[in-house]
Amino acid sequence: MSRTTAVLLCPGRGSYARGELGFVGRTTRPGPVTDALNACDAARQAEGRPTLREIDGAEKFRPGLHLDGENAAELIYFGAMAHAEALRERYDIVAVAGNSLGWYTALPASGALGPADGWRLVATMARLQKQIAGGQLLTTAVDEQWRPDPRLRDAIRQLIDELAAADETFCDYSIRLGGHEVLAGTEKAIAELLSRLPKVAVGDREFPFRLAGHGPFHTRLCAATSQQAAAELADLPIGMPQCHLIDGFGNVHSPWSANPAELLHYTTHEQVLETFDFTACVRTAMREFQPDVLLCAGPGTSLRAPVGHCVITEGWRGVGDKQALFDSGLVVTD
Amino acid sequence: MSIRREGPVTQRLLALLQEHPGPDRARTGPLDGPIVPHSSLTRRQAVALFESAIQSRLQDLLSRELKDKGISYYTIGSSGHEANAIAGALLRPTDTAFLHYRSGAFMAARLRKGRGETPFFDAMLSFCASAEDPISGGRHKVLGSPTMHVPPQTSTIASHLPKAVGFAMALQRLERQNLEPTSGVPHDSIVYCSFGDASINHATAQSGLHAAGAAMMHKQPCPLLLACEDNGIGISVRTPQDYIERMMKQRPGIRYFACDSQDFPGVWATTLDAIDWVRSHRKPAFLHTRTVRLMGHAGSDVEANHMPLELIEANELRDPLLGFADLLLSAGAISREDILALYHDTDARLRRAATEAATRKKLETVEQVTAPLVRPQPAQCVIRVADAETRARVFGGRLPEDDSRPRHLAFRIPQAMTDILAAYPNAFVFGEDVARKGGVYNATKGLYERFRGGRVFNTILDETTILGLAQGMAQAGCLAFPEIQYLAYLHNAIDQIRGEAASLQFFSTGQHDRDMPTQSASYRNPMVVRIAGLAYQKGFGGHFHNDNSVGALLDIPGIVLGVPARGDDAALMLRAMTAAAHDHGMVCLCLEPIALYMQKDLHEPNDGAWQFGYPPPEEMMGLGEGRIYGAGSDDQLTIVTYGNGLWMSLRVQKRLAERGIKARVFDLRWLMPMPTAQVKEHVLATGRCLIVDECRATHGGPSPMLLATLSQDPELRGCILRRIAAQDSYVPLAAAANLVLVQEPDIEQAAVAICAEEVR
Repeated sequence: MSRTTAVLLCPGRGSYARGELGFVGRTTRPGPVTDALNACDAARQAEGRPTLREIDGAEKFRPGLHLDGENAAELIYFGAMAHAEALRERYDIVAVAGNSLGWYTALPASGALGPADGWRLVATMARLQKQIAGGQLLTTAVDEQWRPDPRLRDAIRQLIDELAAADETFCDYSIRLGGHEVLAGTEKAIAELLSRLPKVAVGDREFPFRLAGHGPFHTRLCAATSQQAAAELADLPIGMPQCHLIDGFGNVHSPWSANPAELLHYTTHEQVLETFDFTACVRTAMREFQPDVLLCAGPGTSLRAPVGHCVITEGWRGVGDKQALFDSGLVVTD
Repeated sequence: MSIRREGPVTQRLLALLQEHPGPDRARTGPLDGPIVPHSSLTRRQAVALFESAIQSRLQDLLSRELKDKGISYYTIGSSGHEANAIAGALLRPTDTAFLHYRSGAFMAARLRKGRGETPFFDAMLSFCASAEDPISGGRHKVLGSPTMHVPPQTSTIASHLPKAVGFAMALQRLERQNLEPTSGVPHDSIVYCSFGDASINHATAQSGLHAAGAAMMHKQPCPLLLACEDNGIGISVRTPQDYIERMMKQRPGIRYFACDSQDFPGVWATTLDAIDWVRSHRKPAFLHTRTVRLMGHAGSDVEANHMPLELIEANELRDPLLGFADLLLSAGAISREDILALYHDTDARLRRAATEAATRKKLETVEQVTAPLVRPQPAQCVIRVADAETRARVFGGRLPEDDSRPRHLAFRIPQAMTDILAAYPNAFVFGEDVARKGGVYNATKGLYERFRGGRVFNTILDETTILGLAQGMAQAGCLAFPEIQYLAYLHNAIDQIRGEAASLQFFSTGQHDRDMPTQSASYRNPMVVRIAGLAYQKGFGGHFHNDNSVGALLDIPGIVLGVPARGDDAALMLRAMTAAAHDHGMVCLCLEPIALYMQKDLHEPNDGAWQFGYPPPEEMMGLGEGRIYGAGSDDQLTIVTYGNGLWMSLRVQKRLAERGIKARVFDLRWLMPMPTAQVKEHVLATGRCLIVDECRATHGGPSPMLLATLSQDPELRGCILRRIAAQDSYVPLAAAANLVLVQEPDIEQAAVAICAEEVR
């Protein structure tokens, strides 16, 4: 019998929280990912920084430590890579995509990059992003049933249009995240957005809220990051993916015609400077690959809700609300 | 030999992929190197092209399979034409493409250049006639994309060429006015228009080719790439050898390029040259690609019934994908294992997409189907007025509403158009003789002087071209005001309205908002077509200048058709049409009665009673709102009419009054939408209704439909309903015309007769 087909979705920042302590240690198995993790820890040790294994194995979750940009990025990268390896044994992965930072994982998870080079990419981007002023917030445009709410969507759009007109309150969509929207902008824009966006409660979460420690990713405010990344990563040895790869515009790069030079350019330019459309990724995954399931890699389960929003908006396999989604088993995390 | 050719065509390709000996060492090289010496097509790009081509081929095969299962509804395919993927890859995604129906590979390649496009699923939604189809919402199998600058097209009769010319010419016209074209199309974009060798026989194709060439002869930029995919046959009729080449090679104003789809790198190089030439010269070019048609015209066309089997097989051996796959494998662009994996992966993805697409919503109610045809309510239309300074300038300091002298129809039309041109910077007036001459009947007098040739310009004498220009210009972002000189000449171009302009919203209302599961229109061609027409001209007789039939317009869904009979109504009506076109993308036709253009008097010579003031510029006529003349509480009769019929009926009304018969006269003003409710109200009040229809009796005018509607209304049971209309004849010359046209005595007699009848 053929295995369950899946599109693998790699998580972004914010997916390693208290509940994920120990995830990297639990998930890694001997092999190239572990080799890369060893190299990472060795480098950290040499620099006098705590190793990832130490951070991951800490008894307590310490936001200052675990949510630090560089630590979080590497924890998520290695956790997701290890998890992807394990999932591959059980699923037939027909395509790989990722959310934001998850794109850096998607490249090696698709075979377009070795695990050690993937780590270099993640670490470089995390270091460069740290230096950018501004921030991100998360808000939502879905109702309790995770169905799109046009009023919320329009209110967000209008406010962005109004604020973005002035440089000092520049803001934009940072990540289209299913029914959620990650917005990014200058400090002043974030303050305005937080005070003026509609206050919405979905389940036990209240929107909007600021994403601690996050920079204004995927906006023009990251121009310097893009420039430095292009210089530092010019020799990143991206090759052909071994399966379809879906980028942050929702575009497909096939294992037969993908262009590594374009992938590198996308990684250091468009991916850094333009809205990351994870919603489009999931839409492409559903429409163009029609897998049995959408497979959200760990650490954590942060992608489950946004992916679920996409399924409901699409009406995929007849799913029209939250309960039908849960009953369908179309979105899985393990 | 098998009659159905899907199997042999597929087996031949698969056999090549499976049995190919592999790379020829002398021809291999790096993936980013040329696939053949000196080509700009790299091995990697060639593999991407093959992906688009194979998607198209497998879509064709699957659609036929699904048709057999009752899931797909369209089998006209692109097999043999896959080299058009090259144009899809080489054109910019903002180069607007008007495509013929064998453009599956072009679409696949074009959509790869977008963001988050889903070509596999979109194609399957389209085949399955799903309401979720992003372009047509399940209304038709069209090739189109609301985001990738592909207006919806099936183009069975090459009727898209004239509008492609219009779009190309609009780019420079908009640039001259410092206006941006719609949807982010840059000024330096070009237009691509594809069609087959058989399509070129159509009059519309010839109109388009001629208009493109004429543009150059008149020194007007027309960056248009006309792509003829010549498979040598139309359904079952062969195109003579070298016919296309001989027709097009020496065509004035159009540069000729030729290639053969057997040679993909050659098609790549030639297409690239042609695109570059058109873009840099801003002139039209003709790209002639020789190819083959595989598996018949459509699933229902069994070629063996009309073509010798040897010829069918010979064609199949020229399958462009065979040569292309051989090149990819020999040049080491892809391995045998990988190309097979690509093939099977594509097939599997399409099948999965089809399985899901087949479950998606269909159009289920009349309302859903006809939603794009609904006309706006009057309250949804607002006319713009230019600021006081601009108006003062364009009117030469004296505003028409400040001039208390009443004026006739032909005087008020250019004034109304002046206000419209002043208020809408993207409005353009064009047609034969509309510029310096000011129109045959002075209905555009002074516009050229006020707005110059950039916005008021003459066209060549061809109605198909004029209406094609209107569509292309409108789709590019203009508000088009084409003029058709005589109603009779509309009929040689009528398909440009009924098949093309009016159907655009119907075929382009789909589910393209990615965040919301709702349908909306993605393409519009707002226009107000002014047509001089109808009969009763004195001194200029004969059918062609006195045509009195609008039957060919009355059955077109969704259009707006009005007939202003007096100067102030013309201004108010043109404003209403302008607002409906601008705000809602409506296709509006204003039929101006020639015989009333210069009519100043009503009852007596020199009474000046058919002249009226200029309505304040912000005033509009409600869409579908008629006007009543002389309603009294004891009226015995309602005369319902329009156009020349109004002028005659008002004269009769006076004579009837002198005979003691009280009649009110209702001017429909709008034939589409028709003010039926208003008519009913007056008929209820008077109990008698006489419809005076100046058009031909059987199906030439609105009266048969109006009469049927009124007679079926239970509330009007007992009312007396009659009509008079013109004879079913062409209009002859001189006084003989009066024999077939409705005359005032006819109206008077009918009115007297009906009033002698008792209302039950």
